Amino acid sequence: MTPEELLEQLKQKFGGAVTEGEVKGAEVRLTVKPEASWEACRFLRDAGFEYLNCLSGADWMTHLEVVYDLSSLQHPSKVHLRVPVDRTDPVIRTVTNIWQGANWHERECYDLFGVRFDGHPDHRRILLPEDWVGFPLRKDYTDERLVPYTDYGTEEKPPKPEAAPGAPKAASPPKAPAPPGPTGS
Amino acid sequence: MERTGETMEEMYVNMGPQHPSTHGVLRLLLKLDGEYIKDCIPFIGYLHRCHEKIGENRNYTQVIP
Repeated sequence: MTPEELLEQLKQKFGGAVTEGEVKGAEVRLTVKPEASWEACRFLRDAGFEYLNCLSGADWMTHLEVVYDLSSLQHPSKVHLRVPVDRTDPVIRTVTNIWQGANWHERECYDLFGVRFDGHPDHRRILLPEDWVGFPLRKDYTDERLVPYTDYGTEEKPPKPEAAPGAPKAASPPKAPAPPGPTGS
Repeated sequence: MERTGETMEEMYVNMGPQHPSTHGVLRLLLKLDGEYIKDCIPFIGYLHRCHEKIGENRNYTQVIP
């Protein structure tokens, strides 16, 4: 099954739920609405994409997104599936019953983005302590310990301190060694 | 050899984040029955370096790993 055929099958089966889809090389990239995301994942797993490379999140300012990277051991193609999720109440159905490896990936996505996975068997934080407040990888996450990066190239450099009187002068470049004088006196 | 005359005593032992036997910084909560491990719950995240969050405010050349 070529990537183009797979995209056609997905569009026929899910119709309006596939909002964007294109084929780039050997990869099918598509965007699916969250209501049909579990069905689309099930269909893709049955079509031969039994390996979930990664399940990650993304924060576009208007909405969050759950990104699935699938690959197949049977066909030489990959699928990049994006599911936009509402930002105020991000819920999506879990895919742990499709791919077992999604367990910890979904826990990490919940921990860092706050996306809740409906039906997850072990829904808790994975990297941060359980009592942490907030979701760090969101763009509106603030913490006083996060120091913004400053680019000293555009600002004025701080002035050099004046040398106090009596302090040794700044070392001048070493003089070139004097050429050897005539031997003998 | 059968184990007779013993009582089962479940104990939770914490194998803390730094331990000579664990590979790196990993915390394991072990449910022990004597010397036998009945259950093991791992806690990770001690080695997370926040590369993605720091990279939000950096150029490409400053975050290539």
